[in-house]
Amino acid sequence: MKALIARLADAYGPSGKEDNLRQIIRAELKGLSDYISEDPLGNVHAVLKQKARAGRKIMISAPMDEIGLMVSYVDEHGFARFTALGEVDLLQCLGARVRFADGRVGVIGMGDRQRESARRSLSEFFIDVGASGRENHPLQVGDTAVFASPLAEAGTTLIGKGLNGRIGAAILIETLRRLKHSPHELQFVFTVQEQVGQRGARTAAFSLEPEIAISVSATPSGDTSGAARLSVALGKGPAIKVRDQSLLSDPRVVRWMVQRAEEARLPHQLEVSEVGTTGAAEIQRSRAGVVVGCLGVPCRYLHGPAEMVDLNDVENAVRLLIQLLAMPVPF
Amino acid sequence: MPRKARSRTRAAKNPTGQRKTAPHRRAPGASSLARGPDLIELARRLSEASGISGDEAAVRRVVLESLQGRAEQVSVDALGNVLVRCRSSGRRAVRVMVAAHLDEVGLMVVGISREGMLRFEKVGGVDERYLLGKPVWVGKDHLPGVIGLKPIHLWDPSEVRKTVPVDSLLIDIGAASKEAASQWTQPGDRVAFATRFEAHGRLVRGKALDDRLGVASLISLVLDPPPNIELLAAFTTQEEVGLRGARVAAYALEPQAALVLDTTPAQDLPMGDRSENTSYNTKLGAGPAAYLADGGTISNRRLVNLLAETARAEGLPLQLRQPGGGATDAAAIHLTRKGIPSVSLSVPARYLHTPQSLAHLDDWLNTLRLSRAALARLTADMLR
Repeated sequence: MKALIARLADAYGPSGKEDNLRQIIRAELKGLSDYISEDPLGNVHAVLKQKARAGRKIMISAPMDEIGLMVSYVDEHGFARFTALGEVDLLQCLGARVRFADGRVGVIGMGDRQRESARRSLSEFFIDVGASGRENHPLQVGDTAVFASPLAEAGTTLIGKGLNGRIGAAILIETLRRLKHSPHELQFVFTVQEQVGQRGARTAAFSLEPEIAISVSATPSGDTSGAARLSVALGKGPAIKVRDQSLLSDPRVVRWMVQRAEEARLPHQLEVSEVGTTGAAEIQRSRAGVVVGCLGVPCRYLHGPAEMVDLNDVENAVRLLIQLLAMPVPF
Repeated sequence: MPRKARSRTRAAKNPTGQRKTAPHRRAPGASSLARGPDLIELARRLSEASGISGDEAAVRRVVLESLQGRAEQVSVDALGNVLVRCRSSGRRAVRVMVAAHLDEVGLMVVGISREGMLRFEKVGGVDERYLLGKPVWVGKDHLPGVIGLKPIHLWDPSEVRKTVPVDSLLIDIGAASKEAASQWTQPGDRVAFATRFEAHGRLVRGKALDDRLGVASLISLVLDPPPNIELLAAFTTQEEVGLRGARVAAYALEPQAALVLDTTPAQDLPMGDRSENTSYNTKLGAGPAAYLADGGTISNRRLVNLLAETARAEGLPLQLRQPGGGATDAAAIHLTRKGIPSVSLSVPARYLHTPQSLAHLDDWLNTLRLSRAALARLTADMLR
């Protein structure tokens, strides 16, 4: 599974430009579902039609995109000003290496004068690609960079960029691969534009009209020294979300997840957070409403160039998801 | 005390002393509005009509009259959007929604003081720095007023330089008391800037260029629809307060693609300290502005390419609006139902959301030309 995660994480796919991810994912999904399709915004749907009469329509979604830095202006010194597609941690930006669609590499810099000030804003940063001025500059307005940070291993953890979405996508693919049988209609959806506001999730839910939906992605952990008050920690298993900033998970779904985890003796933790949001919130409000829950992989240093997850948490998330989908829904 | 008959105010003169002709009494000429002078006259009528978010009736009237007898399926929905379905000649024509919003930002009376002065609130993102001393029209009958300072407020000389917050401003309609004022106006009345539309040389100046220029363009497109597409025009309401009309219009029209015609700030004046202006957004005179990404939408790339290629082929100028910030009706449209590939094309303008905005006539006309040409080249496989 490490190789799959590397393939997904290392791919270039900022919000709105997820072509590479679509390609990789479609190749991985070959033969695993009854049909694969794409919708107008670019979400990829892989559906297994319902088997049993008592089965439910369950949507499992994960984002494909990552934070993008879109060039908004090339100044007279050849530095590229940019805007962020998605939420980016400014502190982690300074000095970070970035990569454009054509492979061109750059560094995020900031004027020395601005560095003195405690208050920083994105408008003071720029991307330096080594150009000496505006003449014949290799970049133009609209070019989008992503963090350039190939996946690396450290103990049982993986460090890389874009894990926020890609880890969820990997879990979905691996689940689909290992799942032998399910009584339900399963809608595996790889969504676009999660980073800029869970946009893909909204239209995907409208298209598929699921009864129940589970979104899978990385979730912030609270286990670094001096971290905000969050109970979620790396290595303690997938996080079953009870609430976040925009979602109150359906309590029946929370109970269902806990039940299956306990039955299979899988490590798991409950997530109660005041911040953050996922596609599940958008899906819950779709049409006449959907019963939703959320599975998270604890992650450190989110929204920066080097996010960190524990491979065991990822593996256990796959196992839990299989347990959930292979058996009837107890409500 | 009973209210004075409303008809008394109809004879009132506007701030420049000329008798105001209600815009809805004049009907457009029978000839196509695509001709230069008629289009500007249409823009004048639209710009001078008061249509603050939620009360777009006067603007809607101008639109409906312009389309009278010259467009087939015209309807007004629950939110006041004007929807027009133009049949196309081609069987496989792409259904394209083209939207322009009817509403403008403005003010609303929230209370009347003992002295007969009107307390007010903003409707939409009015730029507060530009309010003090401005002439306004209050209510449906365009009662003339001036935005002044709270009389009992004691001003420190140092405070005079700061922007006066809305709470410290009042609208003066010359009433002597609360009773007198109550005969002419009441809380809920909308207040528009009293700005005449001027077209001089290549310059266009007026209020609500955002988005009456877009509305004028859309009327022109409806009266002479581009070939090869099924044009679904939506004159939307309440854009300035949350893209509300567009959301339901897109749901009803179910288009395959959408083009939004709006205006966007040109913050291209030189910096005070002569440093480089890195966030100009767009430049006046540099042509229509295509959006790559704003705060609410990542444009469909192929639609952006369509605009760029069409501009090249037709020899029209085109600039890219700097990505980031802001939003247009596209933000609501592109996430409707199963998703709708969308792009926005705007006329650059200075001083938007103030009593008077400034735009270049060429930028506006080129935006209309580019829209028409690009729509005619849109094919279904561009959306696949």
